[in-house]
Amino acid sequence: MTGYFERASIKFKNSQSFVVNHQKISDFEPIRDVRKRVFLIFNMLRDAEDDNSRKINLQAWKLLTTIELSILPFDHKDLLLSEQLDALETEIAYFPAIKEAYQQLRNIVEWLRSNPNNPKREALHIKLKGCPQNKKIGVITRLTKWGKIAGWGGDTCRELSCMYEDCEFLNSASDFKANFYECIILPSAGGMCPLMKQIFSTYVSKEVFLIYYDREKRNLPEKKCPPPGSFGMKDSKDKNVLPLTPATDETWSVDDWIDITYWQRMREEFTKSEAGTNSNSGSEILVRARLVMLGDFKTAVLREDHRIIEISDLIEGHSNIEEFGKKFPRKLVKELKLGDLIVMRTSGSGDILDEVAKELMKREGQTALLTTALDWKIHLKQAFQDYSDGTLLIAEKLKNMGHLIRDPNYMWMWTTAYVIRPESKDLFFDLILVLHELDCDLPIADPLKYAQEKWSQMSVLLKYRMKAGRKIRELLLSRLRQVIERDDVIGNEYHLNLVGADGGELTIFRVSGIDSEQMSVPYSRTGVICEMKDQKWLD
Amino acid sequence: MGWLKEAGFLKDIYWVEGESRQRSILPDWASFLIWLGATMRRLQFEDMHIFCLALLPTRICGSALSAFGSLTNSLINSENELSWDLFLECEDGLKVYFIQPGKNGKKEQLEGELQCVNSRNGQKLRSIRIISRSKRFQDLIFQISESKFKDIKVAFHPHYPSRLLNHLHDLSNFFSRTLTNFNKNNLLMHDIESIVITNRAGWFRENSEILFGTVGADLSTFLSIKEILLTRFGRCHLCSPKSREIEILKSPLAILDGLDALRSRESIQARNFLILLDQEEYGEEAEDIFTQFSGYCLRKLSTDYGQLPTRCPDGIDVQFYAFR
Repeated sequence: MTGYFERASIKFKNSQSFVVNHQKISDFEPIRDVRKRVFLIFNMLRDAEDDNSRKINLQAWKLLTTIELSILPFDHKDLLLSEQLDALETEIAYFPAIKEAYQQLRNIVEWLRSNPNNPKREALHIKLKGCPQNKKIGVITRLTKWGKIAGWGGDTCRELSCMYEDCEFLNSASDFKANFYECIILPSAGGMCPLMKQIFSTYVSKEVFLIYYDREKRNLPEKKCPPPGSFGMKDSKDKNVLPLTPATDETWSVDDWIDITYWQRMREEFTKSEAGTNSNSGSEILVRARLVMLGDFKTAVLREDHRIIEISDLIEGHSNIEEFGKKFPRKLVKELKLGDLIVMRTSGSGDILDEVAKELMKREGQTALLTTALDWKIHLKQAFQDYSDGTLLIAEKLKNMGHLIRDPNYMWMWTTAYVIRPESKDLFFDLILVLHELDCDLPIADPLKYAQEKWSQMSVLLKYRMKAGRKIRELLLSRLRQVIERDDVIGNEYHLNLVGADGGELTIFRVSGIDSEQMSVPYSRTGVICEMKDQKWLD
Repeated sequence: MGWLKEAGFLKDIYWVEGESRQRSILPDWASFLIWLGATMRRLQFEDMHIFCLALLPTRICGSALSAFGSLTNSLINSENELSWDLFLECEDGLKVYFIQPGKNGKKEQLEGELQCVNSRNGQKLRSIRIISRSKRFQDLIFQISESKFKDIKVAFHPHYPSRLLNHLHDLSNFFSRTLTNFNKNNLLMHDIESIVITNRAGWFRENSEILFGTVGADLSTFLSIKEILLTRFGRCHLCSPKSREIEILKSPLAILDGLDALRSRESIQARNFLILLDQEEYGEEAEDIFTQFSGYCLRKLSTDYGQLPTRCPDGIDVQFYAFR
């Protein structure tokens, strides 16, 4: 294994001779035509903001991206070109104005299917054959920010692996930590590739080779220089000269649209679900957070300044768990990268919380606490049932006493063990007063004395539950430690449960996308994991 | 450019890492980082703070190399010794330590308090009242003349026992073979030379297996850079960015290793700051900080402070931001 000093030396050496080479495929008209027709459709719907137009744009962009980024023959089944055309045709049924453009697009794609020689595929094979043997070559397989595109599944990589033994596939930022490569090949112009920063600034290779069509969207990161100070020292290289001359193309607006729309949609979906939960009473504190895509189409909004457990270095063997003692490495949410492995609590402690809490109470001779502390719930339930519209009656009385009761039905939750007590002491004391007023047979005649006693008992009960929560967390983290020590293979998600327990789950998620913009969200909504509704967005 | 020579080294340094035991001459980038550490330690002015940003292809091992540079600068620099003039100017009551030649050639270290300056026969004398439990020395007052001053090695910190120098045989040999004007006594200074703000686990991992040695030296005499720095003679203090220590420690040079360390810069008490960042981590946040620096710093670093080279090794970018 290469030592750290040697690794650093290789990186410095690579940076000195770093070169970006490229092969621009400019004599392949059909690809240009596909881009032109897609742009035509996109242009016609540019100002429409309805869902149907959006779907058409999305479908057309997917088709374009599949063809432009593919390294398979154009008639390969994995590209799903026929299916994509059909899907687009269905969407445009109510838009006669774009039927002609669609028909032209269909004709070109059909032509490609019957003339399947893919010039990008040929260029890639020529480059790979020309690479020196026994030197590792990295091929970037993560070409868009939004997950895999058709034709970039395991079969494509397997085919290349069989033909070129030294070929390795780079799909996430963490893949740049371990190895060095003779050359990194990017089969695109980088316009949508989320790994451009890593490709150009980690110096794991001295050469980057881009293969792209002349109209493909380009995005080569400029090497940044620090702003001028009182004195500066520079190396002898001219940093900002990269071999692709900066250019723009009006058709790139299709790619820009998808970039903006994707996260916009994600934010919209979050805001919609947020409105549905109605959790922000207006008084809840707002925090700055970012949307993070987790593994297989899950999302979460995480506080920007939160340090989350991130274990990719441990899993990939770049660091040792022993170095961290009892702790785990953490990373700021705003510094997360694609491919990072973060650990989140994915279920509450459920029944196991009660079990562990009961065990702790038993050990300290407090077995009766669970029943005595909560005996007021029986009287509340009785009152709900004994009076016609008991729920409304009690809610009304509490409102008259100055309390805010949004949903009277929610008070039924107070009769269960899920919610130990109302959120404020005043509310609880007034609730007991109301029960006393309604002639409920409280065990102690003085309602204030009774309320005080129950409130104290419930505080003790909550302390036991908190202790139990901490114990469960420790048990889960020790399970996590075992997983790391066993070198388990972690895919996109890995669940950790306590054996035989209902509830208490940790999940290791692979970060598959991070919103570059922050948003303000109610504190209570951060860390909640949601399934993406439009799951198969790019599949 | 001969960075090591510029930093006061006599000759090249060899490095060895891990089990390979294959020695190689220190590469240019590493020599440059040693020079940068030494330069930032050298550029110390009472009326000025200097922040130096070095953008690197990687900062692996970088902070250790710069801390090593900072240390070597102090080993060849004799300015730290207390001068007679300064001794006369020190305020009354200040604690000092000095060596008193005793019987049979034995030397004793004494602690005392400075008192007034007198004149006798046109010669200036400074009094030191001895603080000691020994009856022999209790309340004794020494009158120190300029000629005596040189012999008794007055310092603000206790002197290490001279037998300790024998224990420093390896270290002393290493530096005497590598540094021009190596002053063995400087190895025994007490002040912290540099604070390195870094991820401690990562730092130990990166630097645990690197050994430095000199041309022609036996491999067994090669020294670990980690051990050179972290023994009390290395006078390098390692802190994590969140550690409370950084608010207490004072140092002539703080080496901020990475973005997390840069964030903690306002809590650090240091004269100069050397900031090492990977090009990958030089994003919006760091750019904002240095754009502000750029707006407020002095337009030029005066040549009174010595000429600095304008070129650095390929792949590295360096900017100095000086503030009055």
